[in-house]
Amino acid sequence: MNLVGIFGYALNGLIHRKLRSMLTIMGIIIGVAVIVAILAVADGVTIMVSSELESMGSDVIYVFPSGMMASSMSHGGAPVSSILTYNDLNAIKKVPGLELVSPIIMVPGVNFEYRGEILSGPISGVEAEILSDAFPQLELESGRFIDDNDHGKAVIGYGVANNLFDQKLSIGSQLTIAGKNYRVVGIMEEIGGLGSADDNNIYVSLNDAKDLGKKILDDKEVSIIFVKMGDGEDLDRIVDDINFELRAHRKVKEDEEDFTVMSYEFVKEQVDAVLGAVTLAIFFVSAISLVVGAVGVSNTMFMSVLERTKEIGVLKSIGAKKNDILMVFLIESAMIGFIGGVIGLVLGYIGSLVVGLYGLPAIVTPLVAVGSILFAMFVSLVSGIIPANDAANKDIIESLRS
Amino acid sequence: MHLDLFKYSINNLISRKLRSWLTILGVIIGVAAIVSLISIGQGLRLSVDDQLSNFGTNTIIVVPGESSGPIGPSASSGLLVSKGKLWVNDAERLGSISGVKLVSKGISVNTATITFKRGTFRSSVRGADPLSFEDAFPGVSIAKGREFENNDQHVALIGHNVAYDYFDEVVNINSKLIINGQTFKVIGILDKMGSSPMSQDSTIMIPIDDAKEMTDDILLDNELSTIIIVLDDDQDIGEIEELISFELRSAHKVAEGEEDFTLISANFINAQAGSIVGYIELFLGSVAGISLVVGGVGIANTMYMSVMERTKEIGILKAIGAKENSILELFLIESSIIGGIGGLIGLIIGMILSLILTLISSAVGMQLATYVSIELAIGAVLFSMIVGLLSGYLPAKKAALLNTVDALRYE
Repeated sequence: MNLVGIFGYALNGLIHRKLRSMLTIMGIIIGVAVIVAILAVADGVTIMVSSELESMGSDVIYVFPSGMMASSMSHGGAPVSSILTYNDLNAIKKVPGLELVSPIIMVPGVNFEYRGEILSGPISGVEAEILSDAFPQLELESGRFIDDNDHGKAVIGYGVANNLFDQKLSIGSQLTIAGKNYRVVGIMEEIGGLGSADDNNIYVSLNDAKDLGKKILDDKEVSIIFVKMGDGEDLDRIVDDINFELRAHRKVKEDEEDFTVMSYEFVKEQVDAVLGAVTLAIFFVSAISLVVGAVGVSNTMFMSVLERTKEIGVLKSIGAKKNDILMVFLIESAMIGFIGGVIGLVLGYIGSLVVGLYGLPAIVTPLVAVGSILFAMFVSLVSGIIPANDAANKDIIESLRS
Repeated sequence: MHLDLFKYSINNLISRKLRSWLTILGVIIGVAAIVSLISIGQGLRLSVDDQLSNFGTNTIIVVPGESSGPIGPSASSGLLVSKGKLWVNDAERLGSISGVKLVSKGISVNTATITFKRGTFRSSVRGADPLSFEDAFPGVSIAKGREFENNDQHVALIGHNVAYDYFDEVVNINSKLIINGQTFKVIGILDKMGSSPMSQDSTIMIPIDDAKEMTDDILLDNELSTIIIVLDDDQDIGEIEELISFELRSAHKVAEGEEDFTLISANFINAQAGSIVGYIELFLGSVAGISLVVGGVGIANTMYMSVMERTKEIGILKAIGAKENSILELFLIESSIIGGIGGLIGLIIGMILSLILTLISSAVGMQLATYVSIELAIGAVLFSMIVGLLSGYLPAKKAALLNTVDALRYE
């Protein structure tokens, strides 16, 4: 028998037992549809997050204080961290290949007032260069950036201007920050998405921020050190060098760092690791239904073999080889997987569109589409192996007599 | 008659052993998945309850800002913008509500530099009313030293981790801490509380007047960061929460639903954490439930075949006087036995799986407690029987409605 002949024979077998085949295929359909829909959401979220991360800029590095943070958060109470100073900033400047090393001073929980409405939040002091060219996701919507010699001037995020207060702020508006008057000189464009908290930022000059925090911040303290590397420099090398210089300066050992050097790559690795683990776990959970579907395939194939015992005998007596019989049943089970996989993919895709309507990003990638059909075929094929083997090894005489 | 039908069904299942087992296997996998996955959610719920027992049931903490984020308002760190303020007036107003035992005012210093000998770190410091400490912070007790007294100045109470972990040297009673440039004498060290939402292990408390002086650049006059309210015994906490909300709404002139403050109590945390755990349970349960549906499709398949194979037998049964209902019952019993046996074995395997999950997670240092409640156990078996029954209904109906003569003629 040639392969086309076997194929046709297997298809006939399926059509002949329509109801049973349909029910068996339905088991595979449901399994595949669930996997496709869930992986679509997982992929959608992953793609959304990494495109947001890319806007952070691949040539920018932030150095944060850290250290005891993790242990203190899990043990309750206030977050605890180390302190970075201008000395650390100067240590970083020793690293070759940097275009800009600049301090950011953040004063948390400061009251700011506009037309009688009082809010509280962080105020960030920055150098002129950071705002003007370093933050790749930040563009001015109107006005100008902070100048290093500015006093009592503020650049505000899109959210501060438009959403935080009942009334909108514009260039020239007077904002009262911790009792002192500041004039709005610039408004940033909207960031939105994962960075939407930054839309609520208020930037003042470094000196103004130091003044605001003079009672609660250390004299030489910096909250975050901003680093921009030069064109064509190797990010990994620079991150390693910064780590090395800071460890040496702060006298800490490797893996006991009380600071974090955060680059686009670093965040992406961390996020990918978490999302990957979650996706894998979800995949396993959703694959359970496909396994149950596969058990159904096994069941159907066993019965198919049993019913066709006599037929198998006849086939063998007219010269069908063991392998031919094996192929007939393997193709039949793989076909169940294929049909179930294709219909399941379509249903899963529709499911992902429905989920998309509720605001979750869902994308069926080609990998998931092709992979789910192949996976369904593979699972069905495996379920068919034992029944097919049973059929192939039947004794001719016995089966003819049954 | 029912017993006969039951025996008859069992015999049928046994005579088609392989097929019956494969069908049951489908159900087993589905139920085992449901039981083990939901047991994770139930374990989470238990550990939340356990941790909440530390949070006195008589305590309500009022913080400024609308509630957002999973637990409590996000503004408490000062790193996110928040609307709304609490005032000394508010505290006084709340003190006059009947059933309130005491009101404790608090001012947080969100950014504080704490230095001891050569070690320095950054944390926040809480300025607390110098009143009975154990009333305001239930579950917290002082291991060494004493609590605040009136007129205390430049003294500090510190959590266990601050004393023993954060600095190279142990901080003792009478040690001097430098907080934002000012010297504070340690007068008390708290007992270790471990991980819990109310843990004070890394807390540093100073008298409220000292905190006020430290923040006078940043906070307004008479502004507070927290108000802790302790109720008399046997008060209805829900009712008093309503009263507090009402008082604060009218003081702040905001409408219901637009509160610029958040009440944190055991109820609140429970509701927040419970809803997260609920979502996890719902997701895991429904994904696993789908596999049971697939198992149900398998049951339907098996039952259809069973009906087809026994067409002649059904004809004979009918010819000797079996009623339609008996035939229906016969097949329904068969399918619910498949569901029931699958459910029971699935339950056992699911319980073993959740045990293994706990063991593995503790071996890798995670604390993933799992718990199979009686409701879950009974529910899982019942659910799989219902799935069996439902899947068997159409095939059974088909069997019951077979025409006797046609059925007898069937080959």
